This record gives sequence, structure tokens and C-alpha cells, in this order.
Amino acid sequence: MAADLPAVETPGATTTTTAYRFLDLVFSLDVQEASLAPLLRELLVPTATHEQPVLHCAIERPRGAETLALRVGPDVVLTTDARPLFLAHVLWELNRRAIAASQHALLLHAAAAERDGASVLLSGPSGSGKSTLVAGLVASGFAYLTDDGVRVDANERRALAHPKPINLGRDVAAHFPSLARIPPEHRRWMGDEWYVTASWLGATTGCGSPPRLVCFPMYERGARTQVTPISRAEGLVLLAENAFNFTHLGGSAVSVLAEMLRPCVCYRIVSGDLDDAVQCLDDLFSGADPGRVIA
Amino acid sequence: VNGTGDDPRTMRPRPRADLVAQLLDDELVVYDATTRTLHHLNASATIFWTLCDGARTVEEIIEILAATTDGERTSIERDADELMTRLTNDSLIVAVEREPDDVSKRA
Repeated sequence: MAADLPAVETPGATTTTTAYRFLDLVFSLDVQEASLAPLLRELLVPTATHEQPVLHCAIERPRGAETLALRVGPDVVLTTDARPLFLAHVLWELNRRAIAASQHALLLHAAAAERDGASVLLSGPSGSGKSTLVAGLVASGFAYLTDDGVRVDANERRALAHPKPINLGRDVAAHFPSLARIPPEHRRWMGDEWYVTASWLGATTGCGSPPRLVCFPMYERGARTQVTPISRAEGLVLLAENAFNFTHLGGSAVSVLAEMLRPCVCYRIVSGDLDDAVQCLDDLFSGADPGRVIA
Repeated sequence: VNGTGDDPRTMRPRPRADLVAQLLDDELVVYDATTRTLHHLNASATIFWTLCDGARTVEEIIEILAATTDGERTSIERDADELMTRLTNDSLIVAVEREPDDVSKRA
């Protein structure tokens, strides 16, 4: 897999690195920590690109030292000797910079997956269960688009892919049998927060498609799955509230959301049971009655 | 809201011209760029909003709603008053001053 990745020359570096695209940010990442490089290459391969990077990043470990450092451009932005914390912070930092660099198009705080040329959006704040639900959809046959950060194509009203690693809690990861095959040398970089790829869940990565189903999930431990239909107008307001850059784009974003939502159905969904919630989402996506709808 | 006099029912409201409004099905989403806020109007509020043309008074709008909907007049009046208070507080509507009818005639 690694041999297929496009390589770019990093100025001043002694190794070749790979370029990746997170949203509008194309960056190179030179991983000088041998035990981390294979994991990061696997995690980031869905975002690999032949484009020329505008930002050069490096993961460095001085010879003999335990401390790891993330260098972004000329600046060291993170140092730690806690390995699980380091991986989480590297991915968080890259995603944070990608969001900051992607302000010209509407960017939703949402996860997304697609099937049959249409997508399902799961929008909500951190902790609402977006990543868990999208992992469940992906494991059930949907193609992965993103676990957070849906960019909306203003012309085609498509939800575009941002296939960054899926962030799951360790307890949630245990729910997926295929993740038990993650080798120990990868697991040592993951603590309570796991990062997985769609391929590890047995799925592919999609390109993006117009949304058909827009859901606003809320995780409640032990809750039976219940869905409540909401109007498209209410869905628009909720998507705007959960957008990264709605206030920056203003009125133009209202128009984009309205046109995107016209062919969609919108629901709030409360659940504490992943399998049940995924089946419910599949039913809603397929136009079937999930039998859990509150009028 | 400017120039309404003492009785809100005599006001001739119209939406502010600089708002961005999107109709989705029978509900309206209104974006106010000055405050960077979104407002969601349900179906009945959207009907009221569309009748706010700067020519009709609130009383006249209530008359139209009472004649064209199944609701009781007292309920329609209460809803209209509450909605006017909300739209006024959110500065989404302005009152149109009617041109004095007889000025040109006198001139």
C-alpha cells in the first residue's frame, strides 16, 4: 500500500514524504519515527494526493530521546512523550488547520456516508455520536465520506468527502469485530481514542454525493432508538448552527443549504444502541418505515 | 419599528429589505446579516409574514387570516400579536408610514 503513495520532495528534508489533502489544505508529512510511519500511512492513505503541498509537516524524534515533536512549517507545535496522546494531537492539529484553510465553501460539523449515489449527513456537536454512527453505517455497507467536516459543493449541492481517520472511543471500537485485527504495533499509539480507516471496517471511501437523509443524532446511554421528523426549514437552522463557517458566509450559505435540503428528509434521532440506530438510519435512507418514528 | 403610533394593530409592517429569506416547503428561514442570526418561521407565521406588504395594517392582516383559515378569531389575534412582538423585538420588520391621502389634493 505504501509503495503506491505519491511522494513529494520536502525542502531541506533527507527523506521523501507523502502529500495529503484534508479539505482545502494540501500538506506533506515526513514521519521520522519508524514505529509510527506505517500506521500514519495507513490512516492517511485515503487522503493521499499528487498535488503540491503548501504546508510541510514533520514528526521528529531526536536520536535517543523519547520525546516526539510535530513540526508544522518552521514551528514545533507539539512535543510529548505520551504516544497515544501524540497521535490524537497530530490528527487534531492537522484537521484544525484544514478547517481554518477551508473557509470559502460551507463546512458542516457533520459526518457523512453514501450509497447508491446519495448520502446521509449526521450533524451535531462533539459527543452526539456522529463518528460512531458513521462507523456503523460504513461497517454495514455505506461508503465513507467523513466523520467530521462535510464540505458542501455549492453548485452541485453535494456533500464532499473528507476521509480523515475515523475517531472512535476504545469502547466503541470494541463493537467492530474487524478492528480486533489491528496489529499491536498500531494499538500502542492509540489509548482511549482510536483512529481507524474505512477499509479496516471493510468499506471503501466515497467521492461525495447529494444528501438524501439529514439526521441530528443524540447519544443517550441505554436509550431505545427514536426518530422525530423535522421540517427542512428546522433542518436548515440546525445545520447552520452546526456549521464551522456559517457566520463567515452568511446569506450565501442560507441559499446553499436551502437548495441542498429541498430533496432531503430530516430527522432528530436519539439512540443508545448502535446496531439499532444503524438499522433505523438504513431504513430512513431507503425510504422504509423504521417503526420508531415519533409523530 | 418606527412610526407605529400607539396601537400596534394600526401598524403597516413589511419585512426589512436587507434580509435573506428562503422558503422551504411552507416554512420560512430568515437570515439577518446585521446580527448574523437565523430565524425560523413556522407555516402560520410564514403566511402572516407574506401578508406584511407595508400596505396592510396588522388589523387588516388579521381580518384576512380570520376569513381564510379555520382558526378562531381570538386565537388568530393572540398569535398575530405575539408574532408582531417577536418580529419587532428581532427588528425583522419595519412599519411603513402611509402617505397622507389628502396632501396632494390640498396642494
